[in-house]
Amino acid sequence: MDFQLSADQLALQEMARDFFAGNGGIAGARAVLAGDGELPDVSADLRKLGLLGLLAESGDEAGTVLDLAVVAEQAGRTLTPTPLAGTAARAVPLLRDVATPPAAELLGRILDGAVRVAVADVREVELSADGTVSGVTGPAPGGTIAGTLIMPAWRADGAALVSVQVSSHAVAASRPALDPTRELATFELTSAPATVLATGEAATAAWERARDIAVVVLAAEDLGTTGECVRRAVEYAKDRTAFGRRIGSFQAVKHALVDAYVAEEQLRSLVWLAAWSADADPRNLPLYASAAAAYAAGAAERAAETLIQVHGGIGFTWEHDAHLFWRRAKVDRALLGDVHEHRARVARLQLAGVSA
Amino acid sequence: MDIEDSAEGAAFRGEVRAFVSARRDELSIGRGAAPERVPDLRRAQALLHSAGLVGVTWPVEYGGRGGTPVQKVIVEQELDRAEVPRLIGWIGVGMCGPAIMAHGTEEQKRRYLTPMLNADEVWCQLFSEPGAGSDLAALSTRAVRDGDGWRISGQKVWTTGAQWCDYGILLARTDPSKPKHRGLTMFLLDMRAPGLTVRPLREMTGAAVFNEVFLDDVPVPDSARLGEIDGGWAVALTVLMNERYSVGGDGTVYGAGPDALTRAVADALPGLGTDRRAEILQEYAACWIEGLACRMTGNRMLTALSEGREPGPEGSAGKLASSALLKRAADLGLCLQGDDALFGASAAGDGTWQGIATFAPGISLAGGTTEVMKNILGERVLGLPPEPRLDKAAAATGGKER
Repeated sequence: MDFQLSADQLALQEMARDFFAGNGGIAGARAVLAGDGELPDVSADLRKLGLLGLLAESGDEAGTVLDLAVVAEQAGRTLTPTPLAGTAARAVPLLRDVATPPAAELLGRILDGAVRVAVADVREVELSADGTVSGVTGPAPGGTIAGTLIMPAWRADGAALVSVQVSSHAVAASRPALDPTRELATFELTSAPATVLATGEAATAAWERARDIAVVVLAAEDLGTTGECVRRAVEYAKDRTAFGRRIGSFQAVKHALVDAYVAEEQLRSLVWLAAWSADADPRNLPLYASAAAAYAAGAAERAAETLIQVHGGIGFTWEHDAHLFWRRAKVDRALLGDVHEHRARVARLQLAGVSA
Repeated sequence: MDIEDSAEGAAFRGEVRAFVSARRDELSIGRGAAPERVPDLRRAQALLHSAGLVGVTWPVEYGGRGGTPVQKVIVEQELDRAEVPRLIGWIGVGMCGPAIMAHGTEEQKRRYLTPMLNADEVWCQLFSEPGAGSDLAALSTRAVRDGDGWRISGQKVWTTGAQWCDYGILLARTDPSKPKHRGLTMFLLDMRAPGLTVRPLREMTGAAVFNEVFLDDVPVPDSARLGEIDGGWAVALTVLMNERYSVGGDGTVYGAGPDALTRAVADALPGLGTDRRAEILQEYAACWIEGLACRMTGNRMLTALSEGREPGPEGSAGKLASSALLKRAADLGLCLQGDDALFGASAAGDGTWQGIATFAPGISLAGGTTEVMKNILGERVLGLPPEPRLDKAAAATGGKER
């Protein structure tokens, strides 16, 4: 039994904390919401730090999903928009695992910084005999800044994994953002030329595994967001005075903060387990990933709502940063599957083990 | 990071499992303590002790195994797995014994520890009083000097197992002129001493495990004092800290763990309509996930212990989460009984979940109420300011001015 971060992971955590502290997303999120600014772009830095391609290697050289989760937690504290969940945790292991020549070529260009990708969940995208795709994608994180989309598409003989260049045939629907830092976009595809990256069962297995890794890394970001909401709310409660006392001394306030903190610690345990299992116990990754995601949805939402509530009226203003955390929590609770889908999956996987 | 057994751990688990399985008839004898079951429960603990499975981390010289915290947890997991009931002497082994090891004289350790482990002597804890529960240091039971020894008078309450216990550790006030935390002393009490009366209290479960204990000029020799005179609060904190380590988990120890829920859900599902089924599965998954989180948070605590570090705040966080989970799991278990949940038991006489549901509310009170735990976490871990206190510096009044 050794359920803790290693010395190397603690060093990585510190490095990531310092990096994201200097590249926070809050000011950018505010500017985008107001329509007069841009988000910070840390893609190139993350690539140079080796974090974008952490899961690109296999064998002894490979970084682990837990390493990536450690970094993602720190990104979640500052709401920095990153390609961690969409690219580092999803596109990279997906393309590595399918390992076909076009996938390897695309992976190489991602790691060179030549292209930005977004991975989209889709319900109905059709791959025609002429090699084009048509349909509508689901919301893809990083979609607003992507040059290439990766998605599954269906043709007569089954599903294929394809890449599509964003173009006049693959257009991001223009909509206001609830949380600008997720850079979400859905795409309308109209006979868009597609490259088939892989087909068959191996492609499906790689798709599902990469999606679960992304679910874990998203939950790790939510862990950081939860922790930062708790930290900010506690700081305010230590400082603000009412009725002649600091408000954190009132049990009604104190207990709300403790509830949020307990959820943070429980979530940390689940995120570590899920991230660890991705490499060490992959058979259980779907179960543990969904457990972490379902828990993260509630923990982040509770922490963000507590952050607003503890601040009183000021917490509800446009000027205060609390709503930026709240926006992240509300979007993440439905991203890559909502809490009900993840719970249903946990129930299904658990009950499948019981003989009827 | 690794959550699986090491090679040695796996080998040890195999040995424990083989022993527990071979002696199942003597060990897996149903949950719940009651006077008529005490002889069997004592025999079960003695059998476990003979195999080195009680006091796993205690030193060999005091009857323990001299093992590791990881081995201790492996034993607990295997006993849970085989549905072995909690030790009749769990309060002694879990709380009184560690306090004696930390604060006792060599003579006390040699006299009391081994019989505590093999259930020759079963121990209870006499802390709470009618006027002092969460606010334990407000207690008013007095110990006064009487020649070389002491005389103790007062009333204790919520004393688990007092009616079948041989000894107890008792916290009493020895100097009422001092501030309330500073005039307390801990004693080792012979439960058969003259002047001591035990009256069982029936709980909402219908069973009587709690007791009131009345002390009328009970003589106690000074050799039965544990720790310094007026230094009892430090001893009490050792006991309470161990209590908090030992309360928690995913509900398995109460028969309401994730595996029990999974079985109950699997049994009930075929009889449910589609909408009801979806609802039940959502709640089942939420409970299962919370139980997983409690178990993994426990693993973090265990990792710290196994490296010789004090566990961090995750221990208190886990206890809070697990007491809330038990109530939720019990509710789900009841829901799954359909119309039978309107009665105390099914037509076939199965009242398992009714029993768990009536037991669950007590877990949010035992070993520190939810509210007190939240205050402790909020103040010691989050660093929030305490409530203004009117009683900390003043001389103790024994709670009589209330």
